[in-house]
Amino acid sequence: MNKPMNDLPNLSISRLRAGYLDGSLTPAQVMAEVRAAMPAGDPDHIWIHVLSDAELRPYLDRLADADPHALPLYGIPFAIKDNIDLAGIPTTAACAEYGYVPDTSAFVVQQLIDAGAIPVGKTNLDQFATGLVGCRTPYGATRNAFDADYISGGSSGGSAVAVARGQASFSLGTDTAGSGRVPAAFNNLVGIKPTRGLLSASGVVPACRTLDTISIFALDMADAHAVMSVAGVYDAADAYARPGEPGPAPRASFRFGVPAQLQFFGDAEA
Amino acid sequence: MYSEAVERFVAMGGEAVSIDFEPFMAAARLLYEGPWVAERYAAIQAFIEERPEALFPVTRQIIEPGIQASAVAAFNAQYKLAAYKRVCDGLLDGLDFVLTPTAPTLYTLAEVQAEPVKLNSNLGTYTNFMNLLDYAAVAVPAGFSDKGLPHGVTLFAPAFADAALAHYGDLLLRDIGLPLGATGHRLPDVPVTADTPPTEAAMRLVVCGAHMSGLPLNHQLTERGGTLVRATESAAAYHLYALPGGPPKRPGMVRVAQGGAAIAVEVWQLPASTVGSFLAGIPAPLGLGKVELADGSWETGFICEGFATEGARDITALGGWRAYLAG
Repeated sequence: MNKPMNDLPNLSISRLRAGYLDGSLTPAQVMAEVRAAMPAGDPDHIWIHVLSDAELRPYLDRLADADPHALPLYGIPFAIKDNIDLAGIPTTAACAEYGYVPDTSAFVVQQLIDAGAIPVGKTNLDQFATGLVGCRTPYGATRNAFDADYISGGSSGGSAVAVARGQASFSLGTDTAGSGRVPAAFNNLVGIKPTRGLLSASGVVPACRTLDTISIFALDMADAHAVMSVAGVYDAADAYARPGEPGPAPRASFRFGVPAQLQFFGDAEA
Repeated sequence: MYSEAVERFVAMGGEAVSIDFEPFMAAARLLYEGPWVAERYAAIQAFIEERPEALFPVTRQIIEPGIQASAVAAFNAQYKLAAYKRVCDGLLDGLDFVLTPTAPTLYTLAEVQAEPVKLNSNLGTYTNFMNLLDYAAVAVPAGFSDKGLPHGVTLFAPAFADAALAHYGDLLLRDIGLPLGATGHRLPDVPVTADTPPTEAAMRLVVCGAHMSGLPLNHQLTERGGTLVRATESAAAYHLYALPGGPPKRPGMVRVAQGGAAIAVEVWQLPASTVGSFLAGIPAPLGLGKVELADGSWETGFICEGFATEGARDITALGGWRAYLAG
């Protein structure tokens, strides 16, 4: 097993936001908690690049004079799958030879930063987001947040384990075939796989461009929804983006489908 | 773990309906067995042709054959997919969501390294079809095995059901009450009942006139996915006026300091994303503000500018718009 779970910080957005609004927390304190939650040498292979203090400084500086009330994600640390651009930091898609340094952040990343969120780093993935396991990467197989003998799931493995182990409040993944959901299941997280096109793909290395979406990992549904509300801005520059449409409202007495055929590949507990 | 989640939803008032899952599985198989791997090739074509040796071995083994898929195969797969989607959409008709395991099982690193391609495919059993069929999904934690390993379930529904899925997923999460990630910390204790979805997902609206059930403007709510929460009365602090103009005829509800009455109203809820377009269609002198209900709660609802009561007929004594229409 990994180190005792109760050492890890509670970075839930609701907790941090309450602290920022009543003045009991500062972004610098929260980033110190994040740093303290990261073991030396990153033995779980969560990260491809963690922002240095110098790389982090502009994001903290711009919050210095900002009003937490006006910024829905003020001081919230988040992780970015390394197939999504963050300005000035290499994007590798887990292939260093493919890597490039983008001048601008992905559209969705920029929405989050504009809302006050703080990027912590770029996370490990199944190379080119091809895989559901989290170990098809030259940066080392990402370890399951609960038991290092098990896989993290993928392809967004690093993004999931970063949140599960208290190194970010939420994270961005991508999801073509399940990369935003399988790692959520394997690390006890909420994973939102939005309707295709609601989150802009501008600044994302495509896997299957007609099928991809950015996904969100969070500790609970309220956190995931807070992120989705900020990130879900229509981007006309992404040819596959779609404006939101009214969906069905929740009902108190609802009907849900249960597959008549279920396949667990011999896992009796699943 | 999965069947426990089914039972929890049933206990919360849900009706479980068995559905044929083979068409979804068939669509899922298309993703890895079909020509979509060509799209992965297209995404990195220049790079993979220049430096194929730079790819991780198993990744190269999967993506490199993508160049061989023919355009004919791609069209044939599109036709198959369209047919599956027609069938699957039909199976979803009348359902609020489908509940599945998120993954069939969880493997060790050693198991995956021994059989990297087959076990990877197994893991996509309940996920591969989602984007192909244009569905939205939320994966939520569902509990731990005896070994202390997490398992999850997925709720899915057609595109744009995101807010409703978040609501149902939240119900399950709060019912189970698991720790957050691997941190051991707990969910904040915010009570959520079946008829009070998270405020971000849906917005409540008090209506007192032509938007009420069965009246001429009710469709403006139902076509946006609105649902009736309850019929009730306002606090005894309002006057109701029949405004000139129309059709449709409209009432105006005005709060007064003294001599007000309880007015029959309905509380509806709308997906939050639709409130903007609804708001844009509200004509003067009406607007949205806060309305006090009989139980002392305040909800967003229709109110009327005070000046408009001049020349309008005071129908407060009737107790509501329906009574006025009936008269």
